[in-house]
Amino acid sequence: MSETKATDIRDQAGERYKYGFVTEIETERAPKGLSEEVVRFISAKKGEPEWLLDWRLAAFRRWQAMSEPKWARVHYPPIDFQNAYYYAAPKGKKARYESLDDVDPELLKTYEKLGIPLQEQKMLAGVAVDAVFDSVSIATTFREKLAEAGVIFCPISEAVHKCPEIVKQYLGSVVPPTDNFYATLNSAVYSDGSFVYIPPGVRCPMELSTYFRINEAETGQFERTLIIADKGSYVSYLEGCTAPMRSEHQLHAAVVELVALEDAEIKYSTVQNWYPGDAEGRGGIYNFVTKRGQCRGARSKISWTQVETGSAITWKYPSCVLMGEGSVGEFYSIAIVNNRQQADTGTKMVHLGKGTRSRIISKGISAGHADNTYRGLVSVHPKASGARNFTQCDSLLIGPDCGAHTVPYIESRNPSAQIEHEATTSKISEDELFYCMSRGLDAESAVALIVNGFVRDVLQQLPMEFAVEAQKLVAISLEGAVG
Amino acid sequence: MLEIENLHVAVGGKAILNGIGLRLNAGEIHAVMGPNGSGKSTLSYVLAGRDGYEVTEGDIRFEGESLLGLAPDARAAKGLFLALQYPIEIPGVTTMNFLRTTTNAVRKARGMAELDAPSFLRLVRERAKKLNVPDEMLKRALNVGFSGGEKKRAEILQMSLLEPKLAILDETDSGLDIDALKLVAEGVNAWMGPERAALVITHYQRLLKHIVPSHVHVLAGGRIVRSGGPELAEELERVGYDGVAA
Amino acid sequence: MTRAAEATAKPVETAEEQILAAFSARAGALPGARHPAVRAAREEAMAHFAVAGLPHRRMEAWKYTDLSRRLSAVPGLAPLDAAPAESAPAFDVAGWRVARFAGGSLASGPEDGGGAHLVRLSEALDEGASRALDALKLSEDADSVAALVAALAHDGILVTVPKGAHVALPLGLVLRAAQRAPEASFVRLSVRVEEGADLTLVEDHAGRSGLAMVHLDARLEAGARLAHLRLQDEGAGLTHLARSDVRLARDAHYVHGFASLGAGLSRHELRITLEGSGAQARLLGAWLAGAGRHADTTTLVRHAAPHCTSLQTIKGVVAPEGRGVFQGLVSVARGAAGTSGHQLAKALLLGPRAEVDQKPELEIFADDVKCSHGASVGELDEDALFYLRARGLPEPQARALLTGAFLGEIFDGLTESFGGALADVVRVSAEAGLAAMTRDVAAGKAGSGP
Repeated sequence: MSETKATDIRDQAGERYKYGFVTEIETERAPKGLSEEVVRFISAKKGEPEWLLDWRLAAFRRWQAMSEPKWARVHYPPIDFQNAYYYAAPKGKKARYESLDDVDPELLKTYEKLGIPLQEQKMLAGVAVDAVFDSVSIATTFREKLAEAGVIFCPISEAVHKCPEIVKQYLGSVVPPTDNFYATLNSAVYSDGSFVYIPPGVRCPMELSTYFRINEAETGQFERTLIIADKGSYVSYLEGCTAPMRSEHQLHAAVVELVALEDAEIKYSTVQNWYPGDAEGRGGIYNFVTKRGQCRGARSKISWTQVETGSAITWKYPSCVLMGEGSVGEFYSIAIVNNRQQADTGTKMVHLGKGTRSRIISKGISAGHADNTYRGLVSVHPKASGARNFTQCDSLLIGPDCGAHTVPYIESRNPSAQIEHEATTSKISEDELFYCMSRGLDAESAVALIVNGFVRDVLQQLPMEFAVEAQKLVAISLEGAVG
Repeated sequence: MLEIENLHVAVGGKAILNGIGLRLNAGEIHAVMGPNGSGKSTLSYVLAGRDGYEVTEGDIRFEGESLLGLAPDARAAKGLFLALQYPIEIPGVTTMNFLRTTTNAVRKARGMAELDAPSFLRLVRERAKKLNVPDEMLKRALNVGFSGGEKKRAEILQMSLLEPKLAILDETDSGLDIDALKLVAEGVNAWMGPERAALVITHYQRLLKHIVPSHVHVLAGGRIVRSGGPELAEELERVGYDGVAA
Repeated sequence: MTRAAEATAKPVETAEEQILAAFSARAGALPGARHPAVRAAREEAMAHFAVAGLPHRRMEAWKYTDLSRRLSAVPGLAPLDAAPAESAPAFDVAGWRVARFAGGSLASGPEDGGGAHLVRLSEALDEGASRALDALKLSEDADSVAALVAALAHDGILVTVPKGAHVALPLGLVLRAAQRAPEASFVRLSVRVEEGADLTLVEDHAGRSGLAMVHLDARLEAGARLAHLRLQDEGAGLTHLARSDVRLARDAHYVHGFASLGAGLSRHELRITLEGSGAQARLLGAWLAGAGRHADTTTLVRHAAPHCTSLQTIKGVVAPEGRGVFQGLVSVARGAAGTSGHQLAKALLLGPRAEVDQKPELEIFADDVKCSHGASVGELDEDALFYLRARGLPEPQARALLTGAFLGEIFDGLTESFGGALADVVRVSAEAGLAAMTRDVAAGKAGSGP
């Protein structure tokens, strides 16, 4: 029906950012800017209950009195929050998509092009996908199969109607709407995202995955993800993200909340490949994200793995609050910055319960004129007897004009806690480069090989299906870094 | 195959090699012997094209073409291989991955088809077995935690896969016990043929009992001070470097 | 009373207001006050403080040490005259030159510097000497501690070791509180070690109560050497705030050894800038935080030139109800190729309600570097404790032995860098401090154990 075509723009480097195309599709947007009316507009679009609208409005009012955090080592001109759209959705007959038949074929083509076919028969057998396009969820696959196991995997906008008690109980319980500037903004205007509930004792039969796509210009994406793993359950969840190449910056301010009850385990992996901007720092996504998990039950476990290669600016600290006795938090991170990218990323491990354990492995790579900061907190409270933390932060520098910074905060208030932190920073070894080249690899392949070795401990944490992709992404991100 | 002509090399502005001349034909094995500090390692690095080794005069030609200005990978593609005295450890990169990546890079550069995973695996297993390199070693990160003997065996395994025309063996005997030494020598001898050549750089004569050279050169003060046949190595063993150079 | 006067007469003055008022009352009487340039420098320093205020925990550099609470009431300024000191020097080195301060005034200075040239700050200010004036000027990275010392210092010492001179014996700087009511004292120390010269400098700080602020700057010219030992062992009633700025030219060598054994609240911020290529800095020391005490050690090592090295080894012990802070930044500027910067920080917690905060930090803007830091926090090794007890040692003794062993590496290093005579004094003082802490732990355990 609608006249649409996908345009493929690629920069001169060609393959470097192959997701930079725009899908031309008719869109419905909220009025530009941010106001109570816009908040009401979004809430009305989603047909939300009264309590949720009030919750959003309270967050909005609070946000108006807040100011942006300035402590991170990232620099950017002031953001005009009134000069953006807070809601954009492909125009369609219905507010929600009941099945793939309702979805504009152009959208399906877009996802196919991104390597994520939404038709179940074409997909990786072991992965269920929720596809979020700008402000709405397009499709969630394998729902029937998941439902058989009792797993709920759907857009959060739908969960509000389907299981309001659970949403009401957990939404904002890990990241309260008052948490920080961007989380509060998200609470006011979040549009969609994924909701996962794994019932007691269930091992989720497949990998769950959400694919976020920003398409519209001048539009921010504010998704909200909520995952609850009930007693003794297990889930592995992966998110991916891309955006078109545009010369202006776009804001992405997401909130992710994880709750692990007794003996439950959540494995959360991210391959972040938002458009990073061009070599001169024009365009790219501002990725200001709040991710936090609570290990509420004894022996519960939350593991974050992230591969951060995209975005102009990354401001992100996936954290674990270890409340349950013997609970475990893990953070595995690869952050690669090139050209003019800036990343300030790390984690917080807050040890509240007895015998809690955490492990942090962070690998930072800087190239070009980029700056990469690891910022992390390990905090042990007086009651967390026997807590353990091990942290290893390594940074690799490629070229004389980049920066690598390591800022750990270690706070212990329990004498029986053991905390160990190690960090190293060095350039890529000339011995290693020469050795690889004398075996026939060109400089770029040699660097890619050595870097892949450097990040291996983290890549191994990714689900198999994505580890290979991530490895390729590591190499692509560093293209042009060696002269 | 290899012609070194009046080669002068400086490192950090300091002259190390002061006019080396050497001609190596296919089918020949030459040994370059010399005491510590005579410039042996410099010679091997400059042949392989390492940064920081400045050729101030002279030329190196491989099959008639000058190698000067070529990157190490381009030289490897042409068929040059340097076995290092101290092979470099590369954390996180498994030996298997390294072997496959480099073998295919060289094959591609030589216009040969890249090997797919199963056929590569077969090839490595077959070659590794001859060098007594166990599967378990292939799964470990390259050279990380390898013993001296394991490192040298891994070097020769790389050589057998990259199939160079010219191998430069820099102090390949150092750190090896007699059994490992024999194994490494067998590997080199198996690879050697009428279309190939080797340059064995060593301080001691003991490796030359197992890899028998056709020519022997004595390096001192950055120059070749004497050349001769295999008997020169034996003479060195008897009278020492001072006796030969005198 | 006029309306304006009423408005300013607030019921409680803030610490900042107390200090500003004290400065206004004192300014005309401070040394060098008759020279407009000296007065201007002091006023500028006070203006800097008036803007910045007392450091508090919302400032990143003072995140773990909040002065605004500790200093809600500021003790009165120490009188300008010298007074008898509370205690004798901790060190006793035959024939060494010692400058003794009491209550912020130089009570007795050495006849000569044994090869170093010494000038009393108050005299130099009265003469309007440029070196003294320079000592009151604030650097770009000055904080409130440096500003207050510049504004209010009424004494100090200027040391110069002439080109090529080798000063055989250490130079001692003994700083004591006076035997008077708690008071605030401000001392400014400045050291120049000229090209190729070398000096050993020993700072010895003690006092029971009041506020002691000290700012030292040291400049090492090309090839100069400075061995700098700092012992600080003070009472619970005292707040000790010190800052040392050390700058190294080409091939200069600086060794800093320290034992910070505590005050009610103590902070020493050591900033080292490696400005010339080939300069080297070595830091090693121990800090203790006893019950109810707060000990802050902050180091900033800036590599501004190529081929410099820095190495830090710092260990701390925290008693129950004590709080220890270590912050250490290693920063490498663009172009500082061939940098080697390493840091190791370990802390031991002896019991409940103890807190330690460590923030090691790397800030790297050059690629040809080898930098690392390691930090650990924990308690004594239970296995080792069991082993010693199984061999017949009572628990307190076993703990004391292991705690001493934890710091052993530091004392060995101090012996190597400063010689046995000086290092032994530090070791004995530190062991006495440790013994008191472990005694408290043993006593506390008997009282409140399960």
